Parts: sequence; structure tokens; C-alpha cells
Amino acid sequence: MGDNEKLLLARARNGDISAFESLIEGYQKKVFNIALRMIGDYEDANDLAQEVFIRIYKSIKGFKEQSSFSTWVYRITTNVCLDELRKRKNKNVVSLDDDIKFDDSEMKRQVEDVKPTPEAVVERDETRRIVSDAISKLSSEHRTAIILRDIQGFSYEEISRIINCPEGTVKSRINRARKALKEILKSKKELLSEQYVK
Amino acid sequence: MESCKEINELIPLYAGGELGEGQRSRLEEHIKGCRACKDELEDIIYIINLCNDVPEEELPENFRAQLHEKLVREKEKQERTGKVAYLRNKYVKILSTIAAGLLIVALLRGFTNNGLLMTGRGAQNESVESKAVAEAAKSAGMAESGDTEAADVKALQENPEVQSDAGAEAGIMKAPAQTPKADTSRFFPSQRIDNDVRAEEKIINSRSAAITLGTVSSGVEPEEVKELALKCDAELESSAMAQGDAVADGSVSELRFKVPNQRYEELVNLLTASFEQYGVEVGPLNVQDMTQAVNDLESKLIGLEDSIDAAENNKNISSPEELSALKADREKVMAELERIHLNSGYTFVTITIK
Repeated sequence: MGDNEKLLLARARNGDISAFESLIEGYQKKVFNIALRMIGDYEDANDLAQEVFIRIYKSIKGFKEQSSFSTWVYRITTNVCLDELRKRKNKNVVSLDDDIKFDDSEMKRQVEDVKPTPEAVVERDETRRIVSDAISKLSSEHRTAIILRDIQGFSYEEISRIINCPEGTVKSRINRARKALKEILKSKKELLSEQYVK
Repeated sequence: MESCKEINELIPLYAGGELGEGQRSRLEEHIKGCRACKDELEDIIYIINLCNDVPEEELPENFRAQLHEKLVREKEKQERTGKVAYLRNKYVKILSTIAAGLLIVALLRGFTNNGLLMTGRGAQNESVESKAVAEAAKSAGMAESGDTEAADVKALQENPEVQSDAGAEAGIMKAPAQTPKADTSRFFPSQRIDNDVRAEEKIINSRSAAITLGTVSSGVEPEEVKELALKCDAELESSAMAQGDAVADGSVSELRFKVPNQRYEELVNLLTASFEQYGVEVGPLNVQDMTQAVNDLESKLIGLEDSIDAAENNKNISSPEELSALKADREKVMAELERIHLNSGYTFVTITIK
């Protein structure tokens, strides 16, 4: 933790909101994107990401600096998203145990397009939409692994600390997650190949 | 020749550049002659590239403003809750502070009346005890202005007699005098310290060493050794202590510690400096590369996870006992991996006392 971050942390612990906002500034975008990929809905991700930071603000006095601040932030992020997925599963809002299927009627736009875009951008967005939707069909365990490693680019060691699992388990989950994603996308490979240049 | 099933397990990790050298060579050798595995590899690389390409979305426009409002509301809520708790606790604290002061007075008067304190010292303590009561009352007064903890600290600081007397009577040991640092550089092979290594290149080692104390003459106390080890954040793992006749016969005591790697050198220097007169022998530091063991365990874990997956999804017919056995094996492998990773931050030191 840098000196500046330590100083902001100390002030945030005393309830200084401005210091807290400066402290979390560098994490906001990544937290939002993790939530977006985990939940698959823009508005819900907005709410969840804010909830992450409220939780951090509430418990910042108890942060003992045994792990790094960033590990703690992303751990809370992952836990908040997994809690939400569990709640949705219990309410049958989203079933995590659906058979792997890929039906156009089930797809919904992940990101609102608020501006008109040129055709090439639309095609690129379509590919990304297909990938995002495929990720949303993974189990919560596989989804977390793919998002943290292949989308957000965390190292195995970082992921191991965030989700509190041995590195071997992390590698195993990523292995299976990639295979599961491949199975989901198999039926769409031709469509993806047209739009995606390797 | 590796089977396709074994290689298939490794493909997703290879595609992400995450395999160790040994496994990488095995895989590359296999796919030279196996079209199916080569196709599988290309598919997985494709998937990873798609994921890498998913763009990072910008924060929603009103994210920061909404969050700020929520933080302000949360802070107000905490302040309201804090005031209620404070008012409730203030009353309790005032009462307990006065009660504590009265108890101190009662005890000291009891000791004095029983002649347990020397006269002069007793007289001194009476003035000290009355200061303690006065300060307790002052703390109670300061609590009304909302500064209870600061008041307690202030009271203690303004009565150094109370503090130092208590310290002397408790027999607090002074810190040992500084001794010249012995030259122990010959015991430490040059190697990178784990903390300096980037996460991706982290070396997984198992480190151990043996130190013998009392090689020239006896007199080393195991308790002294434990105290010194504690200063280096070492944890005692096991001990075998020689007692009574066994000591007279020349038998040894053995203590096994685990010390954080970065404190190992400090421990050796401390032991050498403290027990040099009795004779100290420090064995070489044994460093065993556990990377291959970890790779093997991780491969095994991957295989177990797949078997469990298949069993749970009824792709293979497995009895509940087989599934339980697989899960039990998985737990063992995970525990072993965790143990290796955790222990790689420590050096296990066996100290033999003659």
C-alpha cells in the first residue's frame, strides 16, 4: 500500500467521505465491470457496485491490512455478486443450473446502446454480446474464474487471495470454465468467425 | 506417449500460458502428431482471445453522484447511532470509573492496615492512591465532555509513579543488552528472497535448517531459546524436552520452529550471538524446489475435479461411495497444495540443545 493510500485510508477510517472517495477512485471502474460481467445487467451492476463501496465504507475501520486493500476490495466485490446470484437463484430470477443452450430468444442486450454506431462497431458489439451472454450461462464458480482471469486479467495469486482458495483450485476452475465456455460457444462459432478476426 | 485425455486436461492452461515447462513440452510433443488435440487447443485459444477482447465499460454517468449521496446518508446514520450508544455508555462508564477508583482505595487501605507495605512506601502510595482516585474522578468528569478513552490514557500518563511502581512490582524484565553481531554470512546461500519475486515467477520452495546449541558446554535453557525465537515471529511447531535424569545423562532437547523466511537470518544471528559461549553449530539451509510437486498435485486435482463433475452429471455411472471417495481425495490434494503454498513462506528450523 502506497503512502498516499495509507494516508487516505487513515482519514477514511475517521469518516472522511472525501478521502474515502479518493481512495476508491482507482477501483470503481473495475468493480463495476466485474459486477456487470457477473450479473449481466447494466442497472443491477450499477447498484451492486455502489453497494460494494458502501460495504467497504461501513467496515473500513475493521480492515486490518493483513491482505492488501485491493485484494479486500475485489473480495467484497466477488462476494456481493455471488450473494446476488444466490438470491436470484432462490427466487428463480436466473437459474444457474440451466442446461447449456443457446437460443436467440433468450439473449438480451447487455449494454444499452445510447448512441447510433457505425456498422463495424455494431458487429463488434454483437460479438461481445454473444460472449457476454455465454459467460452469463456459466455456473457462478466458472463465471467468477473466467471474469477474474480472462476478462479482468488478475494473476492466479491475486485470484487465489480474492476468492480465498489455493492456486491449484483456481487453475482447476479456470480450466473447467474455459472448457464449459467453449461448449456454449461451439454452436455460434461460425457466426463469431465472420465477425471476429483472430 | 501422453494420452489425449491427459493432454486435454492441460490444454486450457497451456492456451493461457500457464503451464510449467515440463508439462508444456509434453503437450507440445503430443499435439505435433494429434489433430484432435491441436483443434481443441485452437478452439480454447480462440475462447481466451474473445474474453480478452471484452471491453471495459465506462462507469454510468451518475455513479459517483449516487454513491456520494449514499455515503453521506450512511455517515449520518453512523453518527446518529453513535450518539445514542455514546449517551448510554457514558452513564455506565462514569459509574464504573468511580467504582474502580473506590475499589483501588479500599484495597490499598486494606494492605496498609495489614502492614503489607513498608511505612515510607506506604506513605508514598497513599499519596499515589489518592492521585489515582482524583484522576479517576477527573476522568469521569472528562467523560461528560465526551473524551473517555483519552481521559483514561491521560490519567495514566499523569501518574508515572503508579505506572512505574506497578511495573517494578510485576518484575518486568529489561530488554537484553545489545551484543555484537556474529558473522554468520557463511550460513546463507545466495538466493532470491520470495517477497522480491513477481507473482508470476513465484518460487515454491520448502526450506529447512538445523541448529545445535551447547556444542562446547551445556547451560542453554530451552525457554531462553523460545523467547529469542518469538522475537523473530517464529512459531513453535513441536518440542521434545529432556528432563531430570535425562538431562544429567547428556540427552538433548529439541525444538522445532517455523520462522518467516525473511526473519530466518535474524534468528540465526540472534541465537549465535546469545549462545556463542556455549558453542553453536548452524547447518546449511536446505531449499527444496516444490514446483514439480505442485504441478503434479495440480494435474491430479484437475483430473479429480473432472471425475467429480462427470460423476455428478451422470456421465459416468458412479456409486455414492465412489463419489465420496473422489471428493475426499480432492480435499486431501487441496489441503496438501495449501500446505505447500503456506509453508513456502516459512523456514522450518530444528534447534537441538545439548
